[in-house]
Amino acid sequence: MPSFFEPLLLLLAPVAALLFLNLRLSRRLVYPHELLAEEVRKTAATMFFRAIRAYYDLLFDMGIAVVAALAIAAWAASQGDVPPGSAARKSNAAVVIDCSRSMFMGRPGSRPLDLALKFLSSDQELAQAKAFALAFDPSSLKSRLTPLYPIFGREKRGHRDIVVDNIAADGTFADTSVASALLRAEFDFFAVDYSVMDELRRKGFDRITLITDFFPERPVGFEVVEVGFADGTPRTAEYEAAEATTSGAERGGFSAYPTSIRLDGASGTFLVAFAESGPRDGLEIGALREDGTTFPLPVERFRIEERAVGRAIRIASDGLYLVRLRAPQGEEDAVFAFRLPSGTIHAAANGPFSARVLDALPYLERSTRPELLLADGDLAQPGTPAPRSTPGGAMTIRGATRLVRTHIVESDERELLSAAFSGARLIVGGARGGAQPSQAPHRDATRRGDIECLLGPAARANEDLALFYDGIITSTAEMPFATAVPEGTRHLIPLAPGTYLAETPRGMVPLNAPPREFFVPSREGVMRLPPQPPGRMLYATLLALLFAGKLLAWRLSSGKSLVSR
Amino acid sequence: MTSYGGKTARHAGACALIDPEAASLIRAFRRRTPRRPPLAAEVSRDPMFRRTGSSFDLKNIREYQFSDDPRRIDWKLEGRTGRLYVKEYYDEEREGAALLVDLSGSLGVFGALDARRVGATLAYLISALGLSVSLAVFDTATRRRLALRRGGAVPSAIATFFSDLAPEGRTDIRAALAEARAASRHRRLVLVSDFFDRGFQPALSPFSRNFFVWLYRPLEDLGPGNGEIEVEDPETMSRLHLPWDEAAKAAYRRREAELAARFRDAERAGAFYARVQPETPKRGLYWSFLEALYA
Repeated sequence: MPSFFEPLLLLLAPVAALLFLNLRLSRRLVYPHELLAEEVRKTAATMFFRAIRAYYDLLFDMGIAVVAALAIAAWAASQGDVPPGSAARKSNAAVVIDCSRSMFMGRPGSRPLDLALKFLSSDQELAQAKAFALAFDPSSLKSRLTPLYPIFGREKRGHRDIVVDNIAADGTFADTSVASALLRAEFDFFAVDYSVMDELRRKGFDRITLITDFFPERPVGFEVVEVGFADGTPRTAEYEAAEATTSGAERGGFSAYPTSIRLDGASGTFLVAFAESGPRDGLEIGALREDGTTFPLPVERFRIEERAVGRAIRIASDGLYLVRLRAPQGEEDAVFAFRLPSGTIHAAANGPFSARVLDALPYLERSTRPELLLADGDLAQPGTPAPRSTPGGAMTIRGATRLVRTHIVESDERELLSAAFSGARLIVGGARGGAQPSQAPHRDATRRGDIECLLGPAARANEDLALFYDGIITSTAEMPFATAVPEGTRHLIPLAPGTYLAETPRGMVPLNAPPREFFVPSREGVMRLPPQPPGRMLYATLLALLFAGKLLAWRLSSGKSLVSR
Repeated sequence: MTSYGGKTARHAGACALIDPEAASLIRAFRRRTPRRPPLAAEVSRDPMFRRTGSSFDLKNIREYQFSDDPRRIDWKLEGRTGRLYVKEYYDEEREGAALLVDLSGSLGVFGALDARRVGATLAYLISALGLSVSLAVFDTATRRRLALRRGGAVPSAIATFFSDLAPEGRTDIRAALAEARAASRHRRLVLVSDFFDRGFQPALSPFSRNFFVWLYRPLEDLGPGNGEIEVEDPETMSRLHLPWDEAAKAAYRRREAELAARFRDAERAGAFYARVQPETPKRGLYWSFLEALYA
């Protein structure tokens, strides 16, 4: 890591060389100025001291070298990790409270959020740090950093005072409930994107500390204080030292998450299986309307099965559902929304080959309002738009209609379809690549979810060709719920903390917090916050001033205009 | 043995400022030119040999002749004597020259000794031809003045005049010309200067006949090299720091040419103009000056 002096010496080397050359080459003459500079007597050349005036240029160069060395040193310092506990921590530090769904797991008072707030109030090193909450913002559909003080300051007091006072009142965690309640009311506890902490870097915070329950990646460029997942996962040593009174058992450990949602072909019912930890309590299931309201599901329409790893629900019919797994000891209920897909897919075919495919797959049902369109394609024009009608009559192509287009080719040349056409899906069974992406003239042909298949003689002779179509059709089917905000989401309807109904062009999509918010994920990967950018504006301004001074001095000294050089 | 105006060189030591070739130049010029003045009139101090002119200096009173201008008849004498008389006056002393030598600080660049030598030699040449010389040295104003009457050169006086003068002060040619015009009735002006004076225009000289001798030393003679130069003005003592690159050289040459063009314009208007460089033979300058003096 270069210090200030190393680049300074390097930058001063050419200045010294210039000085040497100047001494070698410059001449001092006595000569009238009339033929040299017409306006020299009107200039303010005398503003420079006589001895300095001859070398003002080099003086400016030296100043520029110093500023450039400072900038380089600042940049170099920003590239490295600042060791914990360094002076920078107190100089311009930020602390971020994770307000993701997992922080609200566990019993009140021992939830990770409560522990994080208590740690924030008790840690002396973070006393001067500016506190932020990292939470999901349903209005912008992104994670956002919000200063904590305006939230806690509604009682005309600093947030630190509230937390400390409440803790000091009786010494229990329950006193953090005031701050927790404020945060609970302020934010939606969903999954958060930790990369938005980059914003703090850009704002000049050189020390960023994230207080969370469990951070699944190795942090680089910032610190993480883990207060422990709600089910009692280990915490960071730093936090253990500060808080050794609670354990995972005391914090409960209730959690649940759907692990399987599928159509059970044997029974003809849908099976929704959950993984659960900790004690179990009641389970409620309701049908969900498109507007987000629910109504109870008749008991004959579902059946709950107790299993070792968690309960499973058998539901008779497809549709939108909302399941609430009640927490037994005051924890936050686990609520999940999901869509059970219909057993049949409304489809239409355009072309003889596609019609045969439609007939071969039993769950495809002909419809004039298809959600899946099978079409025969023209290899000469692989990117032509999807057909608007079928030989059998009119049909309505909606935005949500998926397209599977089949091109019949006469030779087996390549085994894999072009990734640009297949959406990077691996298509086997004799398909081969078609036109290059640049040859695709219409965007509709390559829209997301559409698949173009090229079948050569070998593929058509394959007895398992129907399985190939079955695979690609089911692979493009909608998931029962999304764990991230779906693309094109216009609006989120909150159903429960961390559970929404997303309004998308393809319809209402259930949105649940991802599994890592309910169960401890594996720790892998590295998250790196970019280094704090050095104060570019300051250095740029200084350099600009120095260069301007250099030009001005040259103009004053030579009497020439700036454009004449 | 070198002789000045026919005298022996007993003052040669004191007259070292005057170019040693000046005397021979004068002799050669007298032999050469048909317009040279008569030797008798040249060397005589008898007022009778002075040319008759229109001054107020009475020379003679004689009887009127038919060839005389009737306006010159002295009617008072006619009234007293009953005869017609005319008065003759000496010619005005306008045939001489005002010789102004610039010895401002900038002349140090050209060389003080060389500048004084040119001035002294020109003064000697003019006076050696029998013309009166109003000699003056100036910077912003006249520093010293010497009137050399017609009738012969006095090398020692000229040498003494220039002996202890050193270049100093700023140049103000216009002020020196105005002062010379007021102090002298000569119609000729011989101006010896480096002309490093922005306010001077040759065409604005108040004299009817002008002789400009430009003592010029190019900057290249001082060896500016090709790098940065720091130039101190010998008059203002201000310093100029500039790269002596091609652009600066071009600008310098352009301004030099502009100054020379002004003198060429004056030359076309009838003035004499010569540019001399230091430590170069001046014989050509002096000879052309003598020819121009009697042109």
